[in-house]
Amino acid sequence: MIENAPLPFTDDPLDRDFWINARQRRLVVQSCAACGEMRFPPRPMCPHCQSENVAWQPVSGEAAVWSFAVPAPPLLPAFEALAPYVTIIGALAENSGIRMAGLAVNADGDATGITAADIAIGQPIHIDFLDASEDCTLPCWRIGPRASAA
Amino acid sequence: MLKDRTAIVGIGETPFSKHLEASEFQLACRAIKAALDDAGIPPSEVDALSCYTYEETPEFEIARSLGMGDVHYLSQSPHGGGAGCGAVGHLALAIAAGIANVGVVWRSRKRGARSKRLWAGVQSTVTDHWKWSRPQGLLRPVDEVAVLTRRYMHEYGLTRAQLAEVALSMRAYAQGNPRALMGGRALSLDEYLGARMISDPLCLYDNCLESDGAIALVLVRADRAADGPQPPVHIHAFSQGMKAQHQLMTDYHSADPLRSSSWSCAANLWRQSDIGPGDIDVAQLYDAFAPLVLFSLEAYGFCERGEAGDLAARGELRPGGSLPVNTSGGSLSEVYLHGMNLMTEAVKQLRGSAHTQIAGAKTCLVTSCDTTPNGALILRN
Repeated sequence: MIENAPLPFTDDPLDRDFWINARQRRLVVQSCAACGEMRFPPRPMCPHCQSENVAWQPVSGEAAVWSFAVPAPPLLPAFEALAPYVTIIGALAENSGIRMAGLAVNADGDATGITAADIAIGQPIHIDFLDASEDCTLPCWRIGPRASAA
Repeated sequence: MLKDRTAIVGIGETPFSKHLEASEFQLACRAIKAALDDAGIPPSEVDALSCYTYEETPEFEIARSLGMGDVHYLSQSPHGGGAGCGAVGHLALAIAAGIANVGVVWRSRKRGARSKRLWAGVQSTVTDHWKWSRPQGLLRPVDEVAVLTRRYMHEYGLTRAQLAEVALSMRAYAQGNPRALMGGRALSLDEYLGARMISDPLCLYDNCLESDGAIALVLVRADRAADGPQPPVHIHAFSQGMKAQHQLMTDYHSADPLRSSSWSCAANLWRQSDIGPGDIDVAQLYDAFAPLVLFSLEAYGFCERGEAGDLAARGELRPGGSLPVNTSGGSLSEVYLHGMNLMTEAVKQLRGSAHTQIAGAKTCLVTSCDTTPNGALILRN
């Protein structure tokens, strides 16, 4: 059993740009450069037109809770230390068919101490970023709309 | 054509337990030998082998231990709980097509020990599609199903008391099955509602057992099956299913995520079948997690979308209900072997020899995991 939280491999040519942007605290979505369709998770070919040409489209990071889970121990040690925590599936404001999993974080950017009572389906959320290691920044979901948008 | 051309003529099971001393290899050999003895067929006649990609006992070891001769067909079916019906269906196709004559499918698994649990093997660096969910805290299959269940509750108003009926009805069936791990341990609604959460909204009793054991089946062509010692159970229809834009377990990304790959499987299964959902006497629906049973009831056409909670709450899954489901106790209360016990229970029901026998059962639907690429079989006697 691993002691640390599992981290994504961030140097795959398929999705490297997503992680480079995340390190710069920008959320981008893989889009087809030929037909414009967004897709997530990233894959080599556009399922609509089969083009391999890709653009990484910046999005606002505004979203709504599509669903969520509240995993309870026993868990991997790194997540056991975090519990209680919530993982949210957020649907993007620009395209509600693009749904991304992320840890829920509170107004202090903290992922621990969050329970089901703090979250509801449909509730507004916005993107935040957790520096997980030197080369990995994980997008996460901050509860509530962005302060400027509120 | 596949329809009724092959039959299951032998079943074999080891004891089921939280801990068995024997290795997976030893258990596999015992289950296969028991299934061949049940069929009255010597190992030397086996010429087709089919298993799960997750199976860790290699086919060459199985064949040279049991003393099989020349084998002409080898197949594996993917994705754990999604694989069972595929493994049987592939074997049936090979036999119906005349490639082989006697087929064995098996699953041997020791999961009782904590160190064996799948999520304990999560890698520190995630390179595949799991990189979009595991670092974000969805570590275990139960977490992935919890997300879909909460969304389903939101869309259709399913309550925990309705969902409880899946676990309660299967626990009740287990009380009639001396082989069931949860025999002698009745479960009440209060106990269910008071149980600890594993991944909210799913509690302890919504999760399958972690257990050790092995199961095997023997298939032959229908003409030969008629001469065997056991009543043959015919494979009437088979399909696998993987919907457009499916993603394994974290199936959150298609246009309608609650319309699972089971819907794709069901449509193609019924298309091939003379037996419709209304003609099914008993069903064995894959139940690693309780909500998968409700999702499958809707996908296979036993009720409309969003109505499965009501169907269960009316007691329809129990003996005497319109569709008795997982009559051995299933993965929740008999044993968890990636759904293979659902297959042997289907055979027992159609032989008329089940512990909780559904009177006059002539047809049985068996399904594999709703949230993976999957499969289903319609069996008849």
